[in-house]
Amino acid sequence: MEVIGSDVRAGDRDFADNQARMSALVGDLKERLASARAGGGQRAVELHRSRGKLLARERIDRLVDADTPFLELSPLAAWELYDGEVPSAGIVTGVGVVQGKEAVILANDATVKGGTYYPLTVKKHLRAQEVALENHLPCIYLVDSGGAFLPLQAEVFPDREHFGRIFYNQARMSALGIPQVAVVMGSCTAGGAYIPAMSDEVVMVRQQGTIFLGGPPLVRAATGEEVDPETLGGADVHTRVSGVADHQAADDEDALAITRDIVENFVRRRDLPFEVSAPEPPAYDPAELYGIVSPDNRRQYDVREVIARIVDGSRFHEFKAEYGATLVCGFARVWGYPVGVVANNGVLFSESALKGTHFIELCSQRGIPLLFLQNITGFMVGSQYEQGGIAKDGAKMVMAVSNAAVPKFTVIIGSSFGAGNYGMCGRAYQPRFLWTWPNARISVMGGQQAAEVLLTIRLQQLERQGQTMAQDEREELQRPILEKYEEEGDPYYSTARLWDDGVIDPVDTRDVVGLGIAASLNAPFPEPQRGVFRM
Amino acid sequence: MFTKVLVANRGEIAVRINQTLRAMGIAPVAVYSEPDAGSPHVSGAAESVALAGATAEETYLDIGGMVRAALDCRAEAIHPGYGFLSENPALASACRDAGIAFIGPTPESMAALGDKLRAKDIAGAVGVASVPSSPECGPGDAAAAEFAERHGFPLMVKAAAGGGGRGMRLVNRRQDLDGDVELASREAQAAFGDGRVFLERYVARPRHVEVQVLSDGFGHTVHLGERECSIQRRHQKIIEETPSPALTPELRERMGEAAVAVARQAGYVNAGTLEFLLDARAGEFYFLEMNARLQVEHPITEAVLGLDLVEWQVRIAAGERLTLRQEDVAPRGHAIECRIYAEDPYRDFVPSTGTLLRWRPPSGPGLRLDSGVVEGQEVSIYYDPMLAKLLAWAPTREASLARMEVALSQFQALGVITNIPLLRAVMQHSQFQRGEYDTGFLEWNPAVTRPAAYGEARLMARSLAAWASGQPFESTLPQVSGGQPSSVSPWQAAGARRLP
Amino acid sequence: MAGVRLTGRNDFTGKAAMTPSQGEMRELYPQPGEAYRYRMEEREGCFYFDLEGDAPEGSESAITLEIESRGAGEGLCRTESGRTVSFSWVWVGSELHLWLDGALFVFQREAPVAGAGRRRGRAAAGDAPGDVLAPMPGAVLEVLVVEGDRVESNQTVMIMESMKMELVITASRSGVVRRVAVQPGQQVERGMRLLELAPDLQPTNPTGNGED
Repeated sequence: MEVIGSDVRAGDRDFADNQARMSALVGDLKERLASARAGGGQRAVELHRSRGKLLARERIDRLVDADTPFLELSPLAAWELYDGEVPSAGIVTGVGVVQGKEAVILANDATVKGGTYYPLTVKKHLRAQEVALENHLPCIYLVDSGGAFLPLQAEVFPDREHFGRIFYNQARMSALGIPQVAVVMGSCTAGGAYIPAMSDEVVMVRQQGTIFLGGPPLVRAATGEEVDPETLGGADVHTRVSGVADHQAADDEDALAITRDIVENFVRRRDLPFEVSAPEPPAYDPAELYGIVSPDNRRQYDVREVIARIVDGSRFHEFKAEYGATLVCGFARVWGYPVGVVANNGVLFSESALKGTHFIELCSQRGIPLLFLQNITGFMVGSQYEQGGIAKDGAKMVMAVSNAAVPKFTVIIGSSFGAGNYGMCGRAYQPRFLWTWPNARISVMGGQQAAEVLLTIRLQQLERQGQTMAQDEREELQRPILEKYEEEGDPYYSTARLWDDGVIDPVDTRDVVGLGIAASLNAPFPEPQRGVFRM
Repeated sequence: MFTKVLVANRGEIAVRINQTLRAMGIAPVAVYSEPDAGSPHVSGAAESVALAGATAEETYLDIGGMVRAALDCRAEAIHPGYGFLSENPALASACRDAGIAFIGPTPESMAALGDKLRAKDIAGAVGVASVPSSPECGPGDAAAAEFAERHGFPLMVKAAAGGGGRGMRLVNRRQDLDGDVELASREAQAAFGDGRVFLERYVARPRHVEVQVLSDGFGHTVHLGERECSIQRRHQKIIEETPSPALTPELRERMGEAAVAVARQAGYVNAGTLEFLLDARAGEFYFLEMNARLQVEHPITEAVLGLDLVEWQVRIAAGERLTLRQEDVAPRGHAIECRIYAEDPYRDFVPSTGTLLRWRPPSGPGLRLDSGVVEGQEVSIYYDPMLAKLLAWAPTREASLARMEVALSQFQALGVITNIPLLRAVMQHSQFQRGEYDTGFLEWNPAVTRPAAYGEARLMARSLAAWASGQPFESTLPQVSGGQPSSVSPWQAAGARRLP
Repeated sequence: MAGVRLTGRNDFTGKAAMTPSQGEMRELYPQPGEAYRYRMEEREGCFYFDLEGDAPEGSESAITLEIESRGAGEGLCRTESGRTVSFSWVWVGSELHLWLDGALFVFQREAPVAGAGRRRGRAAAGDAPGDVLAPMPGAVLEVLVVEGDRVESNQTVMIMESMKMELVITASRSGVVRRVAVQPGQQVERGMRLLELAPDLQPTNPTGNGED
């Protein structure tokens, strides 16, 4: 395969400018991550530690194999929501390696509101289970939670994608042979009690973990019985008397060691669906991405420069290079794994959509995972294009993306507006993972366009009444729209709401995608199926 | 004598001060900003204190933080180096208030000398002339017009609070006077927060010569000869030498005496430097300003006199007497210093950043390198782009220039662009070799700031580049575990990292 | 065209990498220059370099160099006249920084591929039509050239705005701007002519004729 040529000059003025601005964005990201990872604050952390307990992230570090990465999911969930008081939505989730096997780990952070489930905590928990289900990864629940956050019970309890879904997922995964292990390291009250109860195997920490449907206060209120938590539902009771738990541990460390022993005995059969070549770093420095990508998403650059800094050896076999040039498609390898890359290089035309459809079909047929690099302002508009049937060509691409029978990975590297988001495998199209760069903007259309559309409609109304609008009135009308799009298009607004699996440093793209592909190979690829393409 | 001294600086000067302190049996304490955590000035110290932040404002310019750091580690004194807080009387005052010795002059004399107009009054009081200048003025002032009337054009407008060439303009014609005064004032306001300006007679093709003085707290002052600093780019020195090829013994003596007189008048204690503008043809010199600190180029004085200026600074600050007598000051040989900057001499001296992937300075008889960097170090945008100072000494000027030229040609610095080729070109320039130059040297000789026509070397370079690119690829990036036989999952190979 | 004969002893460590190869380099520093292609082959125990592209000023058409690799990015180079110079190099991304006997050179490695056209998915430069056409409807934001300017292939000549994006318009081949057909602010349709380019009349291309 050919190495992608690069026109990037590190000394260019734009390069330095982009670099400075992207560095600032990444610096901001790192700061936010550090602040989220501080958990529920110093006092809560000290209190937690004083009880001899490890912090959620420390538990994960001790559970996973030494010298292996941990791919955390949505660390900035609930960012600036709930008055900013629920960092990471109170639960740490992600993919890590335990005894050589990739697993999804979910750890309640009891320093954050006692580990209670806010609506976004539930959403994040369900998303981690979805990752486990789609990729056939064992689930390890490090439970330390007070259950549902009661003031918001209506948004946590009743609906299809609410608390009950957690146990439904456990049941379904267990049925599919995806192991479910719970480690009870704190309280599991009421609904929370079902997390261990629904697990295949349960470890409990003595004098620390408790499982009961009703806690001592509730018991006293209901029956008048006075009982302490340990007698009501401690490790001793559940491993000796009730049989709700299987293994008793002395402390956190011991519990995690027992868990590692449990995982050691999982048998895993994984046939790779393709041959994997030796991984090779890109020929160009990925750090140059900072200088290539303008944080001003209106500025165009050749997306091949980005591909060249993600794929192995910067080698890329481009497909239909001369046709539908605003979408770049081609074959490459990431960490030795084959991928089909679909990357925007401008607005989508009919030709680009057809080419994308063709290429996605090709990868689906051949069993090659798809990587979408999304930077799309939309499909081309205008009478010439509507008459050319751009709507049906766009629909073909959406059809192909939806039905592709291979793992899909999406990175939003710039704009993600409107139907472009759909064709390029946005969150609704079930990519196995979706990550966002800190310069991304996500909305149904650009803020300026939305404001102009609104203004045009209003002006037409006024015109019918024989009136018009002064310039300052126009601006006043548009301002709230612009502000709303500015706020809601922000990647942190997105990631706070779990519309992605995390905002990443562009330099880490290659590693994150490689880890994602490797994890996805635990599940077999389904047989390709296709829907009706409108011709 | 002190047992522990905090060095409130970074880079080569902090490294250099650490060396002297250690040799004196004093424990140096380094301070460092986040990007400087792995810098040589930190590893060369006995202790170090982290300053939170990356920018100079947050770290090396934070007076409160600096004094707190000194108190926390129980340092008895602070050495400010040059730049940063070295000429800020507020640090000297804060030290005094905190009971810490400040290795430098008193805040009072520092404040007096820091104001250019007041400094000129001090010099004038002992009969040392400054370049004739007007009182403070603004656009359209009668004072400005009157001064212009008396001295004619061209004239200079300068910022009262300024330095480094900012707020400085050359006025060529009467009709430009008001406009230029206003522009300079605005520039000065932006750069220093102080828009006061004054006019000055323009000295054509001047040389920049400075005199080193040393005073103790007992009224004893000596001068340590001159340094010729006329090779400048953007009003900043890049090459300095001593003795100056432009001074006669008689002129040298007059300048030395003038320097001592001004220092005494200012009640100056510790090491200081008086900068003069020299009109070599007329044999006239004018007082410019006094730098109340150690100069960047102090090593050339050390080289010809065989002494350690930092050691004297520390002794004087510790209350010792200066035992050096003027008649003992006898320079030997000739020394020259080149400042190695990470900048592109062919593109307007824009700073160059990157990683110093290869850093192999030369060595040999008569060479000294004061360097604040090591191979593999990141050269960031945060601080001054000076990487090191290379000094050559020899018995004669001709010989020390030759040593410098050879040393520069052996200096391997790769990963950032440096000004080494420019420095070499100056060494090879016949005017420079004859000692006939002034502060406009680079403007008068623009060829020096253009790449040489390398001829055969370029063809060789092209061949070698083609050859080298065929050599096994040596990535300078951290390798993410490539090269394993086959099928290595990143889950096993990517190492312990938390992503994102 | 300049030929460089490289000789080396059998034991020199560069040998392994000295398999016949070719590629393209471009000088970036101190003087940004044209790209040059090189081809290396082995004939009778000697390695020959053919450098294509502008021969640097004052250079000889052929030189013989003996290169001795010292490993770790260093080497020695001997010329026919017996002069020995040392050199070293590092890679900064795709840039090769070369220190040669006191001077710094920076080269950019171009992609090691057969034809420049195939590489970026663009049509081969020689076949491109001379005129620059609007790739989609939109507005002209900026015109960066004037009539009479010489432009290189792929040089940015204009910036358009369309569909919320700035669109960089590049010359499809080198030549001289004969006519600028649009002005900033002007709305254009897809396929509209933005710029007319007269063919290159450089002496290096003596077969070009005046008019298309």
